[in-house]
Amino acid sequence: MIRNPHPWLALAAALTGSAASPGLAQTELFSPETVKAWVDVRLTATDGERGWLDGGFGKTRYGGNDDGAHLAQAVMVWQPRLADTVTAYVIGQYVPESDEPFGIEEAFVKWKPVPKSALRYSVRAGQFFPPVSLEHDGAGWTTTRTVTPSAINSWIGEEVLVQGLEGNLQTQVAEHGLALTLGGFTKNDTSATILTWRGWALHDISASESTGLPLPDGPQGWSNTLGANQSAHSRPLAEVDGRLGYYVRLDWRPPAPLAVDAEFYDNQGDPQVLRNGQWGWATRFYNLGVTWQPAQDWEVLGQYMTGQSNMGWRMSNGFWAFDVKYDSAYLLATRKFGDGSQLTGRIDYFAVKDLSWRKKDDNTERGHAATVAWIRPLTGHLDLAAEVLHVNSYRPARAIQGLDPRQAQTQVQIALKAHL
Amino acid sequence: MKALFPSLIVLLAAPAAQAADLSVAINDTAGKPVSFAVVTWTPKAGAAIPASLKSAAYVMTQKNVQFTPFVLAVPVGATVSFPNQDRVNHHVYSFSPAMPFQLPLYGKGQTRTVTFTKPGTDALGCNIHDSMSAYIHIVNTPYFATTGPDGKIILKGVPDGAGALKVWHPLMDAPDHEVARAMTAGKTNAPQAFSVKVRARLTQNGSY
Repeated sequence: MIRNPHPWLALAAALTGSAASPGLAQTELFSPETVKAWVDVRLTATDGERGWLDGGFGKTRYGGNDDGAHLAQAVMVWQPRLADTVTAYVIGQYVPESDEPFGIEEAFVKWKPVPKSALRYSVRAGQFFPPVSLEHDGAGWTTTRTVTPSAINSWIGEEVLVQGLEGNLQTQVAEHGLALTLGGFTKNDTSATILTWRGWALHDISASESTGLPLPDGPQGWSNTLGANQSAHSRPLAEVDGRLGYYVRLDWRPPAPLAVDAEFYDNQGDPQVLRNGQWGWATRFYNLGVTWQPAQDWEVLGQYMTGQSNMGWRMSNGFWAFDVKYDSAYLLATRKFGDGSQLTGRIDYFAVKDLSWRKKDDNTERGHAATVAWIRPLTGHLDLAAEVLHVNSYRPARAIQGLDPRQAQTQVQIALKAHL
Repeated sequence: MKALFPSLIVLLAAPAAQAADLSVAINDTAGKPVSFAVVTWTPKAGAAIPASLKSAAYVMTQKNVQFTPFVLAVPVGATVSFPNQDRVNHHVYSFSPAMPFQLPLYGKGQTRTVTFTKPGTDALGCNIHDSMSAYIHIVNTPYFATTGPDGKIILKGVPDGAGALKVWHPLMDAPDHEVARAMTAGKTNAPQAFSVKVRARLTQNGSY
């Protein structure tokens, strides 16, 4: 559970509760409709290097020595209705290989009044992932087309979780749908710590309020330069500088089977602040997303992200001690079949450019990934998925662990998800 | 079948004047049949809507987190029921000027009704499930039908005389999403064909 309910939550509950009190008769706290739960088990086989969760540089959830059967995730989603236009949403998860297996992924209160005109709006307050991912449109912030999200959205899931307030405004101009989303948040000051020192990865472990993400082992970059001044676990929900971050997103839906969105995120982190082994990182990124349905049973998704993060202190050359630029893109195509099954292919590209201090701490990275996934509902309560993910990447920092900077890894997963 | 039912009533209700059937085929610009197009015949002199047609059963179901049918044509004065066959609640609304309404949260096995008194189009939504979308097209004539997957309908018992044949589709790329053809109906009517531009749109994943 959330140890200290955040002031935002209390504020939101007060705001939304008072605004919607006439509808209190519609309160529904516990019923079959308000609770969802599932257990996701996997059979996996992976070659190549040690997984990142075990202190390695591996790019996939399971590393070269993790073959076998695993419990991947057990989840309970609670969606009580507080009033006819006010809902709450809480995702509690259990992920065995996390350093804190139990945690709350998202927990927010949402007020969505019934539209009276084409201008509609909604507000949510609490803990949530900013709306960046096009892939996470399943219940409980899960992917629906593949088992493993793209590099971009894997990173959102691990290092871009915020606590704050978000407003969404939608309207229709001629035949065009337009939307504006604005979010203001606390926490998430360490965002890009893992992206810098471990690099991009493709996995389906999402952060919780208590998550600590392991940095790679070894006498390398971060431990060499910062020593005890950096915890071996990065906490994505740390607040170290007392500054608010924000994001802005625009959505456009032309009268065509197409949707385009553009987003800017800035955590406004103070890069010089250190607290309990957690540094503030000044992290900002742009994301562009496109959804296209070229035919009724085909769907194409694509995202491009580019960002920059810095931390530490100014060097004599003007760069920060830890100063990275990164970008990634993916293109995904899904074919849906009449029996409810779907076949998806995805290509990922990712890179990190290290702008400073590469002799001591080189975080350069380049890589590609290819994913093929097939998902099929077996019954109303059982889904079967099979996925092959291959990642090629180049990262000089691997040399510190005695590895070839060039690594290739293939992960095969068969997933069975039993849900209520 | 649903489209035929009101037409049969029309046939029984309008025996006075000379009347004949009028068959209409709607294709898109690529030649593929267009479903969910509402075809109406409006006599120049106007036509009263029989009480039996107004009181017929018109149903907009919520099932699998979708409205069914996607397009429902009803005459002015008709009452539409909105049964919920899902295990989750829905909150159906429309802010369309033709008939703004909302049906606050109701669950499985329950139904609500709305009477539509003005011609026009109501775009429906569900405040819980953004992916749900459908249209009720309210017509001011007893001669109407909605195309199925073959894009074809037969308007039964169209009376002799001048009038307007109109085709409406919610996603048609035309003013008011409608095209019209002035013509005179006779003892026999040549089949009418329309080629219309329908814009595809994005369908969202619907989930509980």
